[in-house]
Amino acid sequence: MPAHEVEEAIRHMLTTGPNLSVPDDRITFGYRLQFDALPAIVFNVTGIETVSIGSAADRNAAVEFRAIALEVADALDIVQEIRDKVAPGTHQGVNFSAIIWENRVAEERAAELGDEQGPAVAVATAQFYYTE
Amino acid sequence: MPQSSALSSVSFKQTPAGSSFTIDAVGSVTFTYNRAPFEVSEIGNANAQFIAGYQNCTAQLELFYLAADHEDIESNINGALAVAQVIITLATNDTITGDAYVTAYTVTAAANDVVRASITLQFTGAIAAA
Repeated sequence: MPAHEVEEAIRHMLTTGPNLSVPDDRITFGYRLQFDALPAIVFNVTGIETVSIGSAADRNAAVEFRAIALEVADALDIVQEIRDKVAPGTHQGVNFSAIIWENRVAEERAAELGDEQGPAVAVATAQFYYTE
Repeated sequence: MPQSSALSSVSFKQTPAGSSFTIDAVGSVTFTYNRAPFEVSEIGNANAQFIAGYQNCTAQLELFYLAADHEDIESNINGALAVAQVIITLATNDTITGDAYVTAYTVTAAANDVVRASITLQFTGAIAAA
């Protein structure tokens, strides 16, 4: 087994090297802290499949990135930053060989409970191929 | 008893020179072994009659293509006169061994997908299952 899991490796990929416009402590796995400032990035690994035979098998992780910002344009800019940053390479012992971007959806700021304005969200999904 | 394919692998060795290596990123392998009979029915026979034909083996590999990893297999189709030794190893170390030529190499690149290749191997001579 690797020293780190793919979720940690993806966060490492986002937080090493030149900084995104989102501070590292607001790049989180799974959920965003309720009173955290914006913008923020939340990502999820929604499934991992083994796609090749052999002891060092290739795996395919479906990953969803949610960029949360006050304006839709800002959220879309953050998604573009993520796309530029994410690249094949080795992170935390996980060797990413190919990354395929699939889908991108912008969600307009919505009225939430009590009619206050909610933030805008841009969602992008990608397939990460890697070996451990 | 079914066995897991998790530890299965396919190795390839260009003969007589060349060293054996495990083919990287094989998504699936299909090994087909058949022996079509020859019909020897004659006019007037009430029933069709056959004699045993030749055995014929092919294997099909579906893999994630990377030139650096798969160039030896690619070069086999380009100019190899000698066969390559191909060994399919299953999780329990059962093996299917034979000599083969690469007879087809199809690379597919599609939007929103990784580049894949489909390789067809034609075996010649006997196949050993152990």
